[in-house]
Amino acid sequence: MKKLRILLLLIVLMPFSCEVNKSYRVTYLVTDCSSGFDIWYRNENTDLIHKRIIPASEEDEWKYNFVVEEGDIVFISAIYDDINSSLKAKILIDNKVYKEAFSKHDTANFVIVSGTVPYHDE
Amino acid sequence: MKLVTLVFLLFPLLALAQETGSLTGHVVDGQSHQPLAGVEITLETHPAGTVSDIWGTFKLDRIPPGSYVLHLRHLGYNEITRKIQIQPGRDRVMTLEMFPAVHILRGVEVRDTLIRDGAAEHLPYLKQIELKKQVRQSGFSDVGEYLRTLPNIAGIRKGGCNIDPVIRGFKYSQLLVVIDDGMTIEGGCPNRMDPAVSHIEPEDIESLEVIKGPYAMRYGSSLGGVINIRTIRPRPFETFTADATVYLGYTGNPAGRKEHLAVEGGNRTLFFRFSANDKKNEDYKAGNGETVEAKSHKYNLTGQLGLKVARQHELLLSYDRSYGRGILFPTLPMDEREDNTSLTSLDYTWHILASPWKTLKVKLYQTNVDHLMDNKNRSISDTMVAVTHVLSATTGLRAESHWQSGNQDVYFGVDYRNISKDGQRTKSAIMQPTLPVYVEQIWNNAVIQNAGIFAEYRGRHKHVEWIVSARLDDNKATSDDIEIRKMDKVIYSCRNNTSDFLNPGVSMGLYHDLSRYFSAGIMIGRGVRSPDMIERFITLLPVGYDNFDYLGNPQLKPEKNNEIDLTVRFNHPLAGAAEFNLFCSYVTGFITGVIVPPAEQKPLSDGVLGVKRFQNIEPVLFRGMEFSMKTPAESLWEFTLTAAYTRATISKMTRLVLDDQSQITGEEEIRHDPLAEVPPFESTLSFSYKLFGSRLIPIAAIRVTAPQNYVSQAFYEKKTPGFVVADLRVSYMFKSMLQIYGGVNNIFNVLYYEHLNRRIIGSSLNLYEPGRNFYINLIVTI
Repeated sequence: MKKLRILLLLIVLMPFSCEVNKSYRVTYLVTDCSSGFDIWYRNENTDLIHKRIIPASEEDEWKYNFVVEEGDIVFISAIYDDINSSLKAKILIDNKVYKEAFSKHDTANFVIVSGTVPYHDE
Repeated sequence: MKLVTLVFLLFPLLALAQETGSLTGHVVDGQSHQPLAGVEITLETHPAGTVSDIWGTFKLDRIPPGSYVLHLRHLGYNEITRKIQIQPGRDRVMTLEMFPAVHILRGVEVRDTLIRDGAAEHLPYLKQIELKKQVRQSGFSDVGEYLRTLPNIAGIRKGGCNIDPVIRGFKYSQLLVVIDDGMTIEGGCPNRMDPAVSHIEPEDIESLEVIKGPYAMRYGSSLGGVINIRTIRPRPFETFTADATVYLGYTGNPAGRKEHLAVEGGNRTLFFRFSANDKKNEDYKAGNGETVEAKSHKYNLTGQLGLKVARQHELLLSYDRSYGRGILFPTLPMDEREDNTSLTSLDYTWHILASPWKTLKVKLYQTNVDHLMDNKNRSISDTMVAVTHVLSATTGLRAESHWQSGNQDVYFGVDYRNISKDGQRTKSAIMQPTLPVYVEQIWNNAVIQNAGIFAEYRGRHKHVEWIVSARLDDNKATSDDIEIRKMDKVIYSCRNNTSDFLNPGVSMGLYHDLSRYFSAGIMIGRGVRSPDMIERFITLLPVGYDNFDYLGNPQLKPEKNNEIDLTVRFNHPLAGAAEFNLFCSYVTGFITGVIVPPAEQKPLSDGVLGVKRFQNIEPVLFRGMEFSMKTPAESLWEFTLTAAYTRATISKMTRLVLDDQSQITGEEEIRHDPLAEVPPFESTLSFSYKLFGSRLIPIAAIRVTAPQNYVSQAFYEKKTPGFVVADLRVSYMFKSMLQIYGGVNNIFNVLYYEHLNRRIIGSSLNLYEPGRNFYINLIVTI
């Protein structure tokens, strides 16, 4: 019985661990655009979604929130219509800016912000 | 009258029976204390003889009183000789311990006396090694790291763990790695980040067998050597017993910990062993203080259940599930994100005691590797995220029978192995507006089947021992049609993917005791192996030592190794033991990458120099030596010296000529080019001193490695400087319940790298070995 108690104590003391993937809240944010723009983003189901957005003013912002796990790809690309406009795209992870890009007077090239959610122990 | 006559006739016999005695014994392995079955027990000057049963017990009846010399013989163990006295009418009861023998040269089991204290130390041609002790004393984190400490065994390091062994310059599938005499594992990674040895935790290993050369035929087709990993197995107990062992280890560099818990027990009919390991290491620091990204986390659970069906029949069911998480390999294009491996086996043993047929062993097994890799820790993932998922499965069967008569043994049997592999690589171009995703097939449902038949005959007469071994394999391979696309354009396709080979292998050896202290041996063998999965079916991936995409070749022919080993040994009870061995190996049909003209094949990977396709090339000559010496373990001081060297040359190779900017300017033919990834000369010297009745033993070791200047031009191999490193360790047995081992590796914090360490991916930076490392291991047994 004593032996059994010691064994149980040792098992409890041993910090065997299981890996649990950590979740993060991701926010796609598009601001500073006064003209209509097209966006493509990758959502929580890893689908690529396309949307057409018409902002009322430059102060308007487009936002999309979802939850991902570490290592997941986050992606947003946008292109706007009016050469006199601009566009800022950001990806936030747990409300901190992970990556961002800005474009002004350029309707030929996409604004692309992308990456993978960093692993928590790195 | 008849009754009276009968009484008179029986009376002398009854009187004789009363005057005889008997001997009852129990034979156990001196290291593991497990019962030893099949031990041959004989008495000099008396015809009585028997063999031990599966409980290790034996009995000799009706022995006339007197003095006898008792002999115990068992293959793989040192012979025991005891003087005993048999008393009339009494049963003499004895418990006898036999210790495993070190086996030298022949690559097969022949008794030997270099063993001391029942433990094989750093000697060449090791047949059996007490690994548990080594693991506890050294703080090794994986099997490959341990193997690297043996003479003429090196390892290819790609990260913090999972070191891939190289024996005498032979590597990858030139070496046969088996678990528990027969099980094999096909790893998932094309770059071998998970070699077979990495799927077994050192804490679960009872012993390792390393057989250099192509001589062992019983485990499978082998070309350059066999590594047989024997795991700790449950054993029956006379009465119900449950024991537990807890192992806790901590290291400073890398900062890491490991825990091991094992519970074993049972009774005479049902017995079990359950164990769990958890091991986590952070990045480590090299001798210059720089951090090397080499995190790793591995854990596993093992369950084994044994059943004694009848007195002579035994079943053992084993299941192991292991996990790898976030294992970083800074020298490879990808890291291991997840690895889930399962090993399942069912062993049946029939101890046939009453005839020359000693045992029949049958093993069924299945191994599955689910391997996920990605490049998310590489800078290239800012533009292209690549994730590779590979599933591999190996199903096998092995049956072996052992026949013994006098001094002759015959083993024969069959084995079968089916290896299947499939996988995909998904590439997401995350800097393109619509996030295009490309899916590439990695293995295309590749399958290799190998069926073999083998036999081995051993004999001994007075001072001569001999062995003849042979096997025949039928090896078949196939895969789906191969088609590689780059941006939706087909850049490579292959439709003729089947092959079928019949591979015969044979070896023979002779060993002779020249005098009381000197002996010599010769071994000649020819081993044949068919190409592996990578060599046959890899599809434009940078899997080689150099910066090329590699292309498999389904039409490759088998590789053949013709080898000879010569050994001289000295063994003196007071002076110690020494051995010197020379080997020469001539490999025909050598398989390696050969440049494919750019016009014929463009690479798939970015930044590589071009494409190489696996081909059978000109012969390669390996030659080298191993030397070892050791003082007798009986003395308080102990001194061990080992040295080893291998040199390997390819007859003819072609390489691309590059200018200073690594631009290709032409091709050139190179004659007698050194083979890449062959370790330089090295020697290890160690001292130990026994204190307090061997309870406290400090050990100091110095390893000297020469520069490697004999490097391959065809593979753009770089020279490696020599180095000297020193280790210090102390073992202390507080009581049988608690043992403490600790030490410091690389005492002087030397900045160095092994010749076989790969370079950091995308650079010419070396992957340095860890700097100074303090460690401590505690073992509690209850």
